[in-house]
Amino acid sequence: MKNVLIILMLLLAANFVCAGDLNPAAAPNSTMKTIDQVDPRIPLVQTSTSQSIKIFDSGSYYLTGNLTSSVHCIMVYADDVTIDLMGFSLDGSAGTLGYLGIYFVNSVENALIKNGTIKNFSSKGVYSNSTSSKEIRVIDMTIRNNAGSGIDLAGSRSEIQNCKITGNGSSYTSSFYGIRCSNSGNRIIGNTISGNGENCSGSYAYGIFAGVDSLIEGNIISDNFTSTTSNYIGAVAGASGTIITENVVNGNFNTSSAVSSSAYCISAGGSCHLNRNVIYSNGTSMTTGQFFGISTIDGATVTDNVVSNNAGGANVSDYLQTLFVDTSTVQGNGIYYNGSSLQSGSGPRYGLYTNYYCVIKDNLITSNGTAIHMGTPAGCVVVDNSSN
Amino acid sequence: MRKMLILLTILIVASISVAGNLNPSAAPGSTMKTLGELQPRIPLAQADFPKTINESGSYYLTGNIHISSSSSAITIAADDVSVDLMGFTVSGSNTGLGDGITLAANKNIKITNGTIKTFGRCGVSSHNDVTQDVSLINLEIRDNNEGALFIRGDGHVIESCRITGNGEGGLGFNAIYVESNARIINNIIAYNGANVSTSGGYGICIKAKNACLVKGNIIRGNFSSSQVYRLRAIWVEDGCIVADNIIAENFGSSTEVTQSTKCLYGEKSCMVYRNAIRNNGSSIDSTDFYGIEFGDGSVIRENSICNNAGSATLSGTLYGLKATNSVMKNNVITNNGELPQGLGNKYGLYTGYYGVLKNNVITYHTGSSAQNLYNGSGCVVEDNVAP
Repeated sequence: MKNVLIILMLLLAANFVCAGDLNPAAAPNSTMKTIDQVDPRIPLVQTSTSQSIKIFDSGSYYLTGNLTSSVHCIMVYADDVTIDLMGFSLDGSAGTLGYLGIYFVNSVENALIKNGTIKNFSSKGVYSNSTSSKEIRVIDMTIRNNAGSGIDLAGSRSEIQNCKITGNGSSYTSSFYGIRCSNSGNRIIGNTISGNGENCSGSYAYGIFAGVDSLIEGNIISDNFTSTTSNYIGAVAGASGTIITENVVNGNFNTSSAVSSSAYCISAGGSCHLNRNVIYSNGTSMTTGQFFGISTIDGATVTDNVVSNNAGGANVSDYLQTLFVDTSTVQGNGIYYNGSSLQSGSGPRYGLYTNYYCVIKDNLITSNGTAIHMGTPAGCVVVDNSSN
Repeated sequence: MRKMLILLTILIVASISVAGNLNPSAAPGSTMKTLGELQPRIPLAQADFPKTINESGSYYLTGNIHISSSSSAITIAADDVSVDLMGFTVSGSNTGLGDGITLAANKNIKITNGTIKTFGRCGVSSHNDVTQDVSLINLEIRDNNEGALFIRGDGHVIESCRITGNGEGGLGFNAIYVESNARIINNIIAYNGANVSTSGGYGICIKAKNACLVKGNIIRGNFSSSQVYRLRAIWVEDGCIVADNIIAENFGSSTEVTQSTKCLYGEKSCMVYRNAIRNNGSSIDSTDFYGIEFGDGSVIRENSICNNAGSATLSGTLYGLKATNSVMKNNVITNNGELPQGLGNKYGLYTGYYGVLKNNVITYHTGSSAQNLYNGSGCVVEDNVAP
């Protein structure tokens, strides 16, 4: 019995020893990271190519690989959402008509889409249809070869920066926009919009279209809208109060584009600033009713722009006004060699056309037909222009 | 005694039960992340190189890469490829015709954030004009034998790159070559092309074709002690914006040029704004020398062109600024060709016919065949300081 007791006591002692310290270990010290600390963002998981990824909660999301989709690929219902594409692509080539790359379904506020590609969707690349959406940003994205517009945001204070919008809207039958930010206060900076809208035929076709009080700066808009038959066609359009500066508008509306109404390289509403833009070699051999290099109205400053070699060999049935402006200052622009060799039957061509109240100073206006046309009475100051 | 035995047995059982379940817990649930979710991009390590990328996707380096053969380190042969160098270096062995990265006839390629150096040919190149929409951002391109970035095709972006020490002792050189619709922004191009020796080759820091935006670049100290056919710091074609660039201290130390030397050269219909061109070609031996030259329909304003070709030997003509049928306003052009040897004519600002020449300061272009301002017919010439 004594031996049994000793064995039992040893077992008891050993048991306490092998059980170890039952207190929880100390928390990881400060040099350790949890998985969520390494990347706290939320991976986007696609259950099948025929199921949209739907985001209902605010947060920071990211792609974990290329995605192919036959429906709207990502649908956003929440405010305060960031989506990092991580260099990957959304590919809509599996879809039939009418599907979007990223679709902001409701009125949303504060969204960021960045760092990837959206391609081959059967409608638009990025779309928000709510005019009350605010502050949707699209940055460092390539939007290419979608059937519809590249980026179309109906809300206000949108920002589109460092994006490439290429090859979208081919043979599109609705109105097409490379980038459209319809409401007020947008920033559209440093984008390339190229090779879009070939053969498109909707009522309107524009490279960039911005609402009031927007900034359109440092974009290249080139080689869009070949063989297009839209009613109105434009490279850049800004509503009242917009600044349009240092953009290159080149080679658009060429190769048999036939526009029933008007073609605008840059058009702007009242009180706009149009400075240091280069508008070169657009509308070669096109057919249109009217052609404008720059068109703006009251209260604008039009300074240091180059408008050159446009509408060469075109058929412009009504008139060509390389620069049209009223009640504005027009200074230091180079307006050169526009409308050369217009087809027979074309209307008159003008270097600068104004009805009234402009300061027209220090401009080069050569080889454009009538150099300066003013209404009667014009009330203009015209000084120190070099023209023929 | 029996009671003690029972008590001890109970204690043993209890002590076992308080030790808890020693089996491992269940596998992580669905709220956990896989390694693929944690880093979804595709890793590239030394063992993968030389590497050809044939599928679109997002790739990244996991360390420095060195190529000892003469081949390219990476060949990209797919659309929609992103490569993040993650701050690492891809290096070659200065031999053969390999590039750091060779591009094929593809579109939408993005390479960012690292160093590419010591390759036999270029840092990054595409010799195929179908290549489209290449973005090269935040790269250091250093000490490659031929060019630095030679990218044919349209729509490229080269931004925030440092390009130094390339092309030394070679046969002509482009630091950056692109074609139409490109954006070349905020790069530093310094000390390339030293000791280049070629009878028919060009030395060019930036060459861009039509409708490009060239802005915010610093071009300094390139092409010293070289012998080339023609020299250009920036050369663009039609319809470009060239603004806010600094071109300084290039073409120094006895550089010899068979034909012309032009610091900033463009063809027609360009907007040229607020560039600083200073102290280039201080002892160059060339035919003609130009600070800025552009073709018809350009607007050229607020540039400074100062102290260039100070002790040059020029058998032709020196122009501070030359353009025709253009607007030239608010430029400062002074002290160019101060002590030249063998010079023909010297002009501060020269225009052939038509143009608006206003509010320019053009001074200290002196000598027997020198003129601060020359203009042909049809020009508006007002309010210039040109003694």
